[in-house]
Amino acid sequence: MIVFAVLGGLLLLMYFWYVSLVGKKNRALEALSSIDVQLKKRHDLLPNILKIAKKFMDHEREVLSKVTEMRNLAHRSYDRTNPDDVSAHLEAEQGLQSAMMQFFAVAENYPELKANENMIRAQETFEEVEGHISAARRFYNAAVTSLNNAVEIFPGNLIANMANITAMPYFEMEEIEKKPVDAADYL
Amino acid sequence: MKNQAARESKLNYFLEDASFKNMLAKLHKEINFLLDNHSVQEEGTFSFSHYIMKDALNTIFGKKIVLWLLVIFFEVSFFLALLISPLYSVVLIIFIFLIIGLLFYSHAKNSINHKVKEIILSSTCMHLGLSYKQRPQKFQYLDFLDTGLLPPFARAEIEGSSFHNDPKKISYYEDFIYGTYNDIPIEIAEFVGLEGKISRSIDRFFNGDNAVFGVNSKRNPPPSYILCRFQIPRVVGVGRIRIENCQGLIDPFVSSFSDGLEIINLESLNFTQKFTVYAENQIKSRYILTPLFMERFLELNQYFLGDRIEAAVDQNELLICITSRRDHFEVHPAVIRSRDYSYIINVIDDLYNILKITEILKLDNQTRI
Repeated sequence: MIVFAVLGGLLLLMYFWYVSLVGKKNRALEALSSIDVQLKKRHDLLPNILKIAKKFMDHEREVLSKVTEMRNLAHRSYDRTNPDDVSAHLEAEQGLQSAMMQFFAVAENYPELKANENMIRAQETFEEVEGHISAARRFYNAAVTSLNNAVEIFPGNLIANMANITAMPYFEMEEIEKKPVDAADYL
Repeated sequence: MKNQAARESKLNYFLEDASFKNMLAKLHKEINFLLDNHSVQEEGTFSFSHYIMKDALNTIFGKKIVLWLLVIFFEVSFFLALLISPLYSVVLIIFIFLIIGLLFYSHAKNSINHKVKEIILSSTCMHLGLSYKQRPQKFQYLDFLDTGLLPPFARAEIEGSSFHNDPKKISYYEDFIYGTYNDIPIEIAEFVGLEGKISRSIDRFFNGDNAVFGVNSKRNPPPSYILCRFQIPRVVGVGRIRIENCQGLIDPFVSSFSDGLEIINLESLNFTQKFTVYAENQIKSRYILTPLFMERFLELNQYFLGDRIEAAVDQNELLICITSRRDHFEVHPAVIRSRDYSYIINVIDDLYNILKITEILKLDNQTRI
C-alpha cells in the first residue's frame, strides 16, 4: 500500500514537473513569436531607408547590397520548435543588425543624407523599432533562462528527455552594441 | 552617508546663490512680521462652536455620524451622572470642556505653522517656477489608489469621509505643488491619512514643544505619503506597470493575482532584490524598465534611504510614492517662535529632494527613460 502511495506521489510530482516544463517551453515560444513581430517591423522599415539612402549613397553599393542580402537571409521562414533553426534565424538577425550599424556609420559621411527630413524620420522610427526589439529580446532571454534551467537541472533533465523538450538558444547582443558609445564619433 | 553628503553639497550651492539668498532674506522679513503681529488670542476670535463642530471633530473623525454619536454619548453620560450624583455631572462637564478647550487651543497654536509653511513654500515654488497651495484642489488622487501605490485603507478613509465628494475639502491631502520643472509637468501632494492626522494632534497635545517634525516622539510615527506625478509624453501605450518594494515571498503572488498584473522578471539582480515589478505586458513594460532606468531607480532608492520608494506607470504618467515616517514640510510652532530660521532650509530641502527625482531619473523630454 505504502509502495503504491509513494509511486502515486512520484508520478504526480513528475506530472507537475512536466506541466511546468511545457509551460516554460510555451512561454519561450511565445517570447520568440513576439520577437518576430518586432523583427518584422525592422524588415518592413529597411526597404524605405535603403530607398532614401540610394539617392545619396550611390558609391556605397556594397554596403547597401549587404544590408539587402542580410535582410533576405533573416526574412526566411524557420521551424520555431527546432533549436538549430532558431539559432540560425537569430544569428541572421544579428548579422542584419550589424549590417545596419555599418550602414548608419557610413551614412554619417553624407551630410546631405543626414540632413534629409525623410531620413531623419526613418532613423527615428528605426531607433524606436530597435528599442522594441531590445525589449522583446530581453523578455525572450528571461523566458529561455527559465526554460534552460528547468531542462538542464536534475531531475528536470530526465523529464525533459522523456518529453523531448530541449534547451533553446539565447538571442545575444551584437558585439558592436555592447561597446560603450564614444560621443566624439558623433560630434 | 553618500546621499546625505550629496544633499548637503546641493544645499551649500543654494546658500551661495544670490537670488536664493535674497529670497531667504525676504522670508525672514515676512515671517518676522507675521510673528510680531500674531498671537494665540487673535486666533480665538472666531466662533468657538463653529470651529469645534464643523472643523476640528469633522477633520479628526471624518464622518458626521461620529460627531453626532459623540454628542449623544456625552448627553446620555451627563444625565446618567446627574441621576447618580450632581458632583459627577459637574466633573463630567469640566472634563468635556477641558477636551474641547485643548482641541481649540491646539488648533490656534498650530495655525501659525500653516501660515509660515505657506510663506516658505509659496516663495520657494515661485523661485523655481512652480505654484503652491496648502489644499490640493485639483489633485487627482484616484490613480494613486487604482495603481496600488496608496495602501487599501486610504481608499476606505477617503471614500468614507464626508468630504469625499468635495475635493476642496479632502483633508487627508495637503501641500500641493504643481507646475513645470526641468520641462516636465509635475504635481506633488502629501497624503497624511486619518492615522497621521490623529497622531499629529496627539503628539502636539502630549509632547508639546518637543514634538518637532515628529522625530522626537518616542512612538513610531504613522507614515505619510508623498505623491508625485510626472508627465512623460514619450512613453505611451505601455500599459499599467507597478514597481513595488519587495515584501517577502508570498505577497508578490497574492498582489499579482489580485489586480491581474504579471510579475516581470528583470535582469538586474540588484533591482529584483529590492523591487518586484508587475505589469500588464511583458514586452511593453520593458520599454520603460531598461537596464538604465533600473540603475537610476536604484540610485533614487539610495537617495531616499530610509524611506520607501514605489512607482507606477499609467498612460503617459509616472507616479511615484515616497512613504516616510516623517511629516514633510512641517515646522512646529515652538521652533517658529524661537526665531531660529534654520528650519526654512529644512522645508526647502524637503521640496528640493522631491524635485531631485526628475534629475535622478532623467525624465526630461530629450532623454528616453
